Amino acid sequence: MIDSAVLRNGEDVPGGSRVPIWSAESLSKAFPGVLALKGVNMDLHAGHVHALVGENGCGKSTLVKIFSGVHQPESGQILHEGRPIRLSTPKESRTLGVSTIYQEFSLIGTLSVAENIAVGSMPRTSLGLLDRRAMKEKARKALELIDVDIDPTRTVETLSVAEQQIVEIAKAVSSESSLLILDEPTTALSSSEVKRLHRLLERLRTPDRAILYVSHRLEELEHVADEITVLRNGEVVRQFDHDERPSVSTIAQAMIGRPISQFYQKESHVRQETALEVRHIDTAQNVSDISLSIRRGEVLGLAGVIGSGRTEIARAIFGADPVTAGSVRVRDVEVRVNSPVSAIRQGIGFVPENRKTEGLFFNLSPIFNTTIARLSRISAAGWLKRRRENIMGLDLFGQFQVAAHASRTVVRQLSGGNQQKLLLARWVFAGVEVLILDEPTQGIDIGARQEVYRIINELTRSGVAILLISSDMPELLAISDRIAVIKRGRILMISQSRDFTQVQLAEMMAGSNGGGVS
Amino acid sequence: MKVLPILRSPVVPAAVATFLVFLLGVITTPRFLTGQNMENLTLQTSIVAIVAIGSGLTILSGEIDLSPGSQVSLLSMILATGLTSFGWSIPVACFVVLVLGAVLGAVNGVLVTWGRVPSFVGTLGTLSAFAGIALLFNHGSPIFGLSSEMQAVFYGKFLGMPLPLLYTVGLFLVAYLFLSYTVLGREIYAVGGNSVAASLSGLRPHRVRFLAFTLAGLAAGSGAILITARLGSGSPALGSGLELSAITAAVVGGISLSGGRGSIIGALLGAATISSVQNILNLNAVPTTWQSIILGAIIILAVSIDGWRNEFSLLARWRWGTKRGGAGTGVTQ
Repeated sequence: MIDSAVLRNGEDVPGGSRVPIWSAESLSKAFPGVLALKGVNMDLHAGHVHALVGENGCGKSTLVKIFSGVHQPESGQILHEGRPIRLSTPKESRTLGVSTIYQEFSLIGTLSVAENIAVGSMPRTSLGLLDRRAMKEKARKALELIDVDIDPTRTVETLSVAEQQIVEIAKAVSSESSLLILDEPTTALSSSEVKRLHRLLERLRTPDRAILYVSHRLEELEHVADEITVLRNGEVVRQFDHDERPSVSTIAQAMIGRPISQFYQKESHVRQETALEVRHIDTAQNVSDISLSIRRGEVLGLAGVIGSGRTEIARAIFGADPVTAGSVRVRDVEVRVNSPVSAIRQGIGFVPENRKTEGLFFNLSPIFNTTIARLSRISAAGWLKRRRENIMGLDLFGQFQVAAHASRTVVRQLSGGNQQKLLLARWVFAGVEVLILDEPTQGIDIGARQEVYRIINELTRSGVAILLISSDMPELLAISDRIAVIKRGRILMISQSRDFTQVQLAEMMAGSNGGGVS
Repeated sequence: MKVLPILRSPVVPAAVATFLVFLLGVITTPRFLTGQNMENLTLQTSIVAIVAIGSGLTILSGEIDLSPGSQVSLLSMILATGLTSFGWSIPVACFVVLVLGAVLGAVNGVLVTWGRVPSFVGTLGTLSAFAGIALLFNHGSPIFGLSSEMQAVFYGKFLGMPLPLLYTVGLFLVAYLFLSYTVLGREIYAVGGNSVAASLSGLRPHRVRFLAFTLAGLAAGSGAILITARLGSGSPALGSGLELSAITAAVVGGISLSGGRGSIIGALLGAATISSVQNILNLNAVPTTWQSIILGAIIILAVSIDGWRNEFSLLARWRWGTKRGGAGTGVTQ
């Protein structure tokens, strides 16, 4: 087998073999309306960290899920040490040595660290009872192996996000693994925690194990990755090896397939009048002393790592979390927003991060989903005018370019892009003047993302003010007029988005503080 | 594959089930498809069907009500007491029972929303409590001697049709229009379908659930009037077991226990299905012990099918995605 990638340290990793320990061979996979993988080839070498990058919805997570046995490819195969292998269930994949750490942790919050590490293979005494001592010992060893000092008797929910992730890693490596997959491991971490994770990766990069590192934070790759695979629309568009030393912008361009400035179509429609102003608001959910204002037609971006309080600020403004202090002013009038009902009455809308659990009615029709936030527009004296509803709904679908078949099916069947457009259509139907978008492009393909940007432009043109939350920094920088940097529930600074570079912004968000790991 | 729109209606499986059970009846006994038996079946179906409207509403709102049987017992005792001891006229007594039915439903609603008690447990509690209150009337003995006018409420006919058939059709029509064409009906689907999304869309899930329970109490009140008129007496055990039939009817009718999915018309078909099963078993002289086992098996089977159906739609998306989704994938390109 020819090893095409030039390896950074094929020599200095003892046992680093030339046959890739794991590889994907022309993998293809399709979902209705969801992005497919098309003939993906990728070699993972033992002792190497292989980075997998791509935009939201490029197929990264599908590829990860094929390796971890969640999805089956329609064609192509997975090779382990050069031999084809079937991974038909997550369990099978685990026993064959694939450990996956997803962005959403699979830890059980109410159990201890030791119990979480032992879950799945609980040690038993000769009587068949749970062997607590052996369990604790196993956990201690697993934590020692990766050189961290976390008390195995602590309950997982009392740990910080970074500590929980370390427990997750300990759990993964406590079983023999020849492939460790980390799916977006740094999204919730501060910069010192990220450094700590990268040191940990060095320890885990043993001669018998390959690491697949999925990320969209390009600036961190040069410190960790031996090779980089770039996916776009389900296809491998570039593979870099370490010696090429690709710059962040080279990788970014490969990811979106054109110069960044062309991808993010941004129109600025900022007007003079203030649409929304919040003054010194606090909540019980880690939001303190937030003051900001958005003008009509303006996009204000909220930048911050996961857990920084961005979503909590949005929820507070929308009345979803109770505000304990401060005031909210809409169109220069102080208003009481203590529930989504009152927020909507004041013309504020909210597209939550999690479309499935918080946004959509999956088993109901797209039109149902579109009109639900303002049924008064299509009813009189409590009675719905369904013809009118249909006409207005279809009209909006045309405007938003929702797929034609959408009106005849339930939302569950639609692609992520169409689903997201329905949520945007819901608030346009409700006639809001302030719209909060929490990660509006997560999990949708490139085409749909551009649609979302187009809709944002249309909304701002008509005077709607937008509060945009996004983990995707190029997107946030390009689409926002101004950016507020959030950390630990507070605003660090607000400035014009052209005043920031991506690296500066990342550094401010992550900051230099220690974070949770003790 | 092209499918006639009508075949995609959620009540199709229930209609097929009803048809198959009818077929079974026709095959197993010549006494099934007779005028007399059909009339009996209609009368039998009506009570279950009307109570099942309530079960359908609560299940659609994402909750469950285990108490309608006890509500019927209690309301039946109140109705009989009112008619015999207080000398209420029939319309007044019926009105009072409907109002009190709504009150009992509202009690469930308050427990589930304001009290934060999961409905399974809250209505399990009221199942026991309402049955207990029913026993407080007339020292726990049935109340006999209702006037024949009261029986006419059930056994009367209008234009040759049994009155219960007309009540049933009328109430289902109202329930259908309510769920499909009113704001509150729409909100019941929304809250049952996804309570968090409903709340973030500016709905008030607690209020919607409270009202669903209250309306379910109204349905139980209607059922209580019919069953009391049928037997010409009030009894504290009249409704026992009715909750099982009503919930089974709703689930057999395709109303998903996960909430927000199904049509109320399905509950009518479901009630017809299980009443027919009972009727056929009776005609074939199957002992009641076995009937109870079979009814139990039916609800378990129906819920299991509902559970698998949810999973199948996911599987379909994964496994056969490409073939089925062909028309729908070109979203943005």
